[in-house]
Amino acid sequence: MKKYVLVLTIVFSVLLVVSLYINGISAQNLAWGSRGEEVREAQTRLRRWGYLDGEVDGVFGADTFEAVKRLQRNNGLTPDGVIGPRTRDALGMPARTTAPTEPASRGVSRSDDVNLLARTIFAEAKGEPYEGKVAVGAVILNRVRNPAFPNTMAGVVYQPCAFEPVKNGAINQAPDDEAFRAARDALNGWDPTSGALYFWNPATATSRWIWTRTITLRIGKHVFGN
Amino acid sequence: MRRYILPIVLAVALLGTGVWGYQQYTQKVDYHTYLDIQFQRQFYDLIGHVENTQVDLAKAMVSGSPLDRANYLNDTVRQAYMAQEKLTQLPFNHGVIRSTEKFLSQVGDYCTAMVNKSLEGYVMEESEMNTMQELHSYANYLSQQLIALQQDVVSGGVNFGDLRREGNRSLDKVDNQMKDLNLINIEERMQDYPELIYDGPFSEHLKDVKPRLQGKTITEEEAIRIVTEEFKENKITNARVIGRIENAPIEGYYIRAERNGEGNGRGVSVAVSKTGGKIIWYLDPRSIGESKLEKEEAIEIAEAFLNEKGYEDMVTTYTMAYEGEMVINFAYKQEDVIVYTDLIKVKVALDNGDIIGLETEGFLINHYERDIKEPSLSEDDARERLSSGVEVESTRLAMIPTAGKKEILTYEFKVKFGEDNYLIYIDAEDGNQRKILLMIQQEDGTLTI
Repeated sequence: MKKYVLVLTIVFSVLLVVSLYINGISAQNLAWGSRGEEVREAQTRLRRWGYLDGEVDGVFGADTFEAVKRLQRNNGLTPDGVIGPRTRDALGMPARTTAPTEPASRGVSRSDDVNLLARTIFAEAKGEPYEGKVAVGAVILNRVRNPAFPNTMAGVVYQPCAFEPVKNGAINQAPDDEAFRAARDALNGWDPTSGALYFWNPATATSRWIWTRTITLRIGKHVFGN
Repeated sequence: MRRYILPIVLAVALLGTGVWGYQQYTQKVDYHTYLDIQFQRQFYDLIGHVENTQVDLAKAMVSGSPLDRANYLNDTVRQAYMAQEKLTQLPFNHGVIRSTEKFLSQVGDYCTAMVNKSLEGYVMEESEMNTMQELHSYANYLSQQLIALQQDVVSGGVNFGDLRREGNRSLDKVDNQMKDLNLINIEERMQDYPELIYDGPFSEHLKDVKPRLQGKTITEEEAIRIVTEEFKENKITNARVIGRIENAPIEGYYIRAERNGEGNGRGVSVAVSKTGGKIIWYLDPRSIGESKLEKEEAIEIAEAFLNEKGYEDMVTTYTMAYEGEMVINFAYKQEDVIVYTDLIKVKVALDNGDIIGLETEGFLINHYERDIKEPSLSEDDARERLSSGVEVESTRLAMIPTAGKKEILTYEFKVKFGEDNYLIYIDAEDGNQRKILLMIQQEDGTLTI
């Protein structure tokens, strides 16, 4: 009996190592366990076409796996549940990595700002109405533009003693779709707070100082002010 | 023999826990020291940058020619911003260093405005010299106080790691610490530095910008009626006022309602201005299905929507599409001049063409019928000012805001340089280059930086 356990353990470890190795080789592909912006993109497309019922969360799980297989069957591809070059094509996603022969200057995109803002909104305004989420994003952007605060988004978000989720690590959680949309709306100029620099939850705020601010608006559980 | 087994096991376990606990403790001390040291380094940097700010400012004042002055002012700008950056990342309670942070930003910003003036050949006025003199003495005061504080840090009276941990928790304790640190006195003194009015984004005059929006004051009932009317075709029901926007440039009513149609009964939110009863913003957060509309169709829908709401002469400036929705920016056009300050944004769902977002604050604050004078520089003269390496694709007149929110009439040249497109703005009065935007073509729209 004990022998079987030992043998099984060894077999599994070998499999694990091999699968990790293979994963390394085919890192271009998206498969079960992949995460990130590309998975989110694929999920959005799958959802739009009715293959996926689950959440767009940027994590390649069982739902996404089944959805990819359905898409592959419909497109006459081998239904293996892995997004390789041909499935990528079927999804209409751009092939990855542009060759370095591209002309040097192409500027940068601000997708990282969206990410950081979405994470902050997700951690700070869970369960708030949508406009309350946009408002939290707007406060952060208003701070970037204010002389009494850091001049970059990362500076504002990671300022010590500024946001609770930064202190307890909740800022590192992957944001949901709504937080992403709220972050984009805030970056595009929607500001329900009309320029507020602070927000606090009257039920949990510990600082007396914060109540010396002038209040502009209440949304959900948060009070916004200057 | 048997009865010793349990005690022995327990004793070994206790010893193990002790060793583990000690390791955890040393690890904690290790991290704590590391953090404290990082903060100390930043604090030393801060002092250095504040001292340099003060010294460079002094050198700028004694410089003879505008160009030499511009050089030292540029150094001041850099040092002031770095000092501000270091200060904001130290674990001080925000309420206690607010004015100091603002002071450093404004010194940088003010000096940038002075650099621009110097480069255009202006000699500084006496009032500006006096302002610099005052800023210099405040910077001097700040650096002296920080050096005094540094003694505390060195002698071990301040532990930044502790400060960070208590930043939000026990306020009294932090207050006491701040008093010990003398930071409160510094802050009080820093609040008195003169109000700075200049052409820059942090200038004091921007606080007092009055919105141009006019009209009669409306009541809650009227606001609800306006929302129901304005979004009639979107079948908005059950609109109710649930808050007020106060102490803001444009005050208003914050309203929630239900929207029927796709995803029946979902909640939407909207704000209506107290003055004039205009929609300030509107947000409909519904999830969006497969895109069926082309960019042009979405723009047509947005244009029709704005026309119907009485916003005429609005032209599309740029568009951006994300996961099934498209944000379309509109600017006002007076005769043949684009006025970029009067801005409205419309968000269209690409699955069925619903309007799912509207943002008009820029328009409501800035819009009025301007008296736009004929430019004194001809288009050809303005074109002469461009670099010879660029290829002009189109030109038009545009009113753009300066950093200090003044408006200037410019020629907007869309040019190609190498692989990239740029927008270059040449002042229509004096031919100076006012702004350059790099346009980044993406799959979903054009981004300008």
